[in-house]
Amino acid sequence: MPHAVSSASSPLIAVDNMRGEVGGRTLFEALSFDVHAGEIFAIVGRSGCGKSSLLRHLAGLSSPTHGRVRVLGTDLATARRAELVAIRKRLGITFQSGALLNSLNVRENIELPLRHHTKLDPATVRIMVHLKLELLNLSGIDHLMPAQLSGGMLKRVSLARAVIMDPELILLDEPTSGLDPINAAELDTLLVKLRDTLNVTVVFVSHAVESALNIADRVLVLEGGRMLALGSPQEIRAHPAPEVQALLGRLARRSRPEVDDYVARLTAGED
Amino acid sequence: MSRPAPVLILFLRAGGSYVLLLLRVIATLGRSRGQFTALLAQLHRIGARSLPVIAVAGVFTGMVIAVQFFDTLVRFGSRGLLGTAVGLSLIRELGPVLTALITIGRAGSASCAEMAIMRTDQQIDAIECMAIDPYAYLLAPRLLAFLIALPLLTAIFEVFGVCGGLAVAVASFGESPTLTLANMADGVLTRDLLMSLFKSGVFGLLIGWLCLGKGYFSAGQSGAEGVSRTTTDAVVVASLAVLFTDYVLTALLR
Repeated sequence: MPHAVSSASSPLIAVDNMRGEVGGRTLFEALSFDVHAGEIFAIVGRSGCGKSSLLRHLAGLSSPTHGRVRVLGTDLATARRAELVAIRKRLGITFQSGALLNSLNVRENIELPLRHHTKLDPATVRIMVHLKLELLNLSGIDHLMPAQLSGGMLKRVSLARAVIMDPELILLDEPTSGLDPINAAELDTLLVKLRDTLNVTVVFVSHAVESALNIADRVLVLEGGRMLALGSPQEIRAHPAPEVQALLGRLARRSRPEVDDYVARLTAGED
Repeated sequence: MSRPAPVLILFLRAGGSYVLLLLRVIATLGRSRGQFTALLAQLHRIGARSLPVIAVAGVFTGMVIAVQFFDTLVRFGSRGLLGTAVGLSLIRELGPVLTALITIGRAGSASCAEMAIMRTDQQIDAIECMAIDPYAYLLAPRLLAFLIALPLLTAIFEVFGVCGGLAVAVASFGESPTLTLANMADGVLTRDLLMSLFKSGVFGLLIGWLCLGKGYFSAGQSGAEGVSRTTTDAVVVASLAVLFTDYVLTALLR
């Protein structure tokens, strides 16, 4: 269900005509969009369309070669190190692999930002970690090492670490990739729950379009590094572009005679 | 005017990155929470866990030197110099160099692989995104641990080496233990001991710097093959750097 989003205030993320490159290869270009406080904003597209690279730019891990990206009011490309550190304390991020530190157990991973940026006593830190674990349905696993976790647990522990500092904004890279449909649906529900309970703005990239349309307030569709569509889930579902409809799985597969012949020969051979 | 060769630019860029890495690590020393605890953990990992292999290598090296020198010294009628020869060889040259090479193989390669895996797995990106300085959190304790552990390991290598040499001199060649030890004490000067510790400190810094840097800058070398290639490169580069630096230091400080 769409959430009431305040677009009157200045956006948490403002991307203006941004182009990103790596090794001279353009990853995406001419991207302009805003993300407002309280939104769940999805960036969807096929594999290799530049979604994860875009997220790295939003986190300040890469800099655009053209255009601007302002996150929480600061231009990341021109920000000084101290400004970047201040911004990063106000945002959380999860990576596709989870990116938990292998040498630390679940509790140590989650409390790492708290230990570095606050002077809370260990008992308070422990309580805060416990609360976040409960919120993400992870009670009782705080002593496990990352290698002992399932894919779904890994993603949720990573999410717990991302929200431990109560950030204003969380960025998630493919939060449901590699998960079975039940775990993926649970994680979708968790994202909505996090937004509602912690009042956090959520930006996530995903190739699971249907799941993104179910939970996002607005969806950005990327194709070949360019913005193909931007709008509410209803607007995206009704979008006339064939690429968008193909992404939604509504267009029949393009006819490819050589593939059809091959399949026919295989089928005949089986008989 | 022709453009500089790309390989030269790449070399300068890589060299600049390594210099900046070292400067940034030095700048963060003592400025991150938990750095001392992390340093102790790394000293245990790099230093304490290397003790058995260092001790065994030291004993055998001392034994081999004693055997080799004994035959030569007997030929020249100078068997009384066996203790001095064993002591000087171990402390001036073989102790620092062999300890450094063993540490590269055991701890340098492991640290490089750890950094490379953390880079590939986006763990370093995650640390940056948590507003934690990876130079302070990851690199500084490890580099400092190499710097501190190498002289200590070298001293232990030399002690075990002397014991090995002494054991062979006494058991195989019938030398007097007191006389052999006295010869060692006479032949080896304080300057030799300090030189040995100074060399091993420099080697520790080199090993940590090159192995950690190689792993840290390994972006794009993804997968098991990439990590393996990065680690092999680090071992080769660090070993050659140690041998080259050993020559330079020996020539300058003799």
